Amino acid sequence: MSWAVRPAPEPGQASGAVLAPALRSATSALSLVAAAVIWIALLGPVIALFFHITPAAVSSALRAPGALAPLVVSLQSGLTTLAVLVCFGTPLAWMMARGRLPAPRVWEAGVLAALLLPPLVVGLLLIFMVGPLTPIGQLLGHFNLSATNTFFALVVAEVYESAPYYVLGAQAAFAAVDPRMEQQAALLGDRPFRAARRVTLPLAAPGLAMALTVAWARAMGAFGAVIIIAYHPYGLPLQIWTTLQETGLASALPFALVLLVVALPLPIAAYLWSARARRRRGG
Amino acid sequence: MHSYCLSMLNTGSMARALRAWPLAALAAAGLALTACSSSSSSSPPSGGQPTGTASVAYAASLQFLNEKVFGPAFHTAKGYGYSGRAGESGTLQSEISAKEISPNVFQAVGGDNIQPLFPSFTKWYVQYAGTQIAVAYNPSSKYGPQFAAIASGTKPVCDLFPIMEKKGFLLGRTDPNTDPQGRSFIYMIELAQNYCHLPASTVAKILGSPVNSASSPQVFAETSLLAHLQAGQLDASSAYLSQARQLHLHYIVLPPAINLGDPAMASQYHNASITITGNVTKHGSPLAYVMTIIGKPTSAGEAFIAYALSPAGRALYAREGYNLLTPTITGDASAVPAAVKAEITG
Repeated sequence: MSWAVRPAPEPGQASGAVLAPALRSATSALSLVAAAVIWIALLGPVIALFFHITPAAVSSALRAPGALAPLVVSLQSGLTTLAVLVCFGTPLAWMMARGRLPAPRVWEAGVLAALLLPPLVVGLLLIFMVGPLTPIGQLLGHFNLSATNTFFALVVAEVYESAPYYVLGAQAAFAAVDPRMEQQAALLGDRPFRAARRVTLPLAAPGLAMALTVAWARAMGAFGAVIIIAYHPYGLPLQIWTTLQETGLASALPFALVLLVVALPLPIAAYLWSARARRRRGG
Repeated sequence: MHSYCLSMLNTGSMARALRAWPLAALAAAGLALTACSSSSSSSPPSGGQPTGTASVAYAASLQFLNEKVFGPAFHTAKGYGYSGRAGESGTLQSEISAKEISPNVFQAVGGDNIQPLFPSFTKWYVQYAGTQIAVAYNPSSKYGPQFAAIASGTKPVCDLFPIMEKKGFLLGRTDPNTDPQGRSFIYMIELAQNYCHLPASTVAKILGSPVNSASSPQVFAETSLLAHLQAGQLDASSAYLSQARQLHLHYIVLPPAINLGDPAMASQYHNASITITGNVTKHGSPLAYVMTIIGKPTSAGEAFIAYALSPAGRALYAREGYNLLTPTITGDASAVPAAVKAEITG
């Protein structure tokens, strides 16, 4: 089965292969309705959020002592997570895309397995990996680090929740770059690193930006693994959870709005830039 | 799943549909499976048995009992359905007050979580069972042999606290600001300081300072605390005795003077206190379970409470490690449904 988009048939093709105009318009209308239904359904919780908070509630929640500390923690941990992904995830994605790894399917399956595991389970399994009495935990202890209930633990949890999205997205972005472009750069005398910097990365940049965007959203909203190994310092998702437990729904919802306001601009900017870059290239 | 449903999904038309309209066919198959599974789980009891479901909001420390033991036993014995929702008692009370949830039955730790619902949602509650704070421990910890000696009574229980003070001791507990178990553990340490005639600095040495801090390295989410202990990454942790038994943990039973399990010692427990978020001071109190009917009584809700008070229901509580307390009604006794009263008066 192929999911590729097929070009519209040329006039004069066999009549059976061409949709009648009426049927085509009905299909278009149905597609539009289906698209609108799923879009509104996806947006439903966001719409509900705006119906259930008031400016006064937002102002009161944000003025509480220490209310903005989780926002700072989320931004710091999210940016650190992105830095880790760019440094370590990008080479993996490039090698997976270019088939530079032995047994490539095994590498891909490993990334997919990390993607498939529910974040809560990842968190539980991380206890066995990086808990204070494990070999890794004891090694970290020598450097006065701990991967339980610390900022470092928060970054570890966010990396685990977001890395598969970044690696798979970046792999697709690199795969979309024609390898012959890199070969031509090499023929013109560019060393591999220079060819990557001048040819591969600029061509893959829109796709990489989108992958990074998705990873950012996952890191900012990470909860399942975080609540297991990094109960504090609180980022925004845990702030929402603990506020819900301490003082109820009305006090917790304003922080959901903060999460949206803080986390959304970067994905939107990356999406717009990526779309513009693709249009330019297409044109 | 019914065989009828399987045959529906195996037809050749499904295969043809998959080729022609793959997404629509997948969605249809999903809906068919949902319909089949829901029809099998919601089939009404046969032979004129009672219908209806008891929806129960309960303290999270009852989760294993309600979901795995009591709920299924209630359904089998009485024929009503059971639907449970676990949560922190105070949170559930807030949600009921705000009409975010409307359960038939509310089971909480402590009557102070039901009193605020008087008189709009209920006018009474019955105290019927209890639990107590215990210390669960990791037998592979370097302190394991000492814990085992204390658990078996070879060493006095007061030897436990100097061990917990030691530098590098990995203690786990829950957030006292959000979880009753987190608060109860702190009350227990405060009570133990007096009971064992320990120095005044003991509480701070064991729990760190301030004791109400949610960002202490000892504080874990309730959902993950015992996972850290079971994974061997803590030396010891707080636990309810019922939890420790249900999860087959190694644990130390504490004396009634400090374990918050004896309603007769309520005034002594009250001496322990902690100030939590919002500058609210909470005092120690017995870990007693209370329950009531929220709103207009339903036959399923009445039957659930009556079953919890019946000899069969109480036997399940006892088997799972809860203390059985003589059922005691607080509030307007005339508002208690007859079926519930009948079980209390015998």
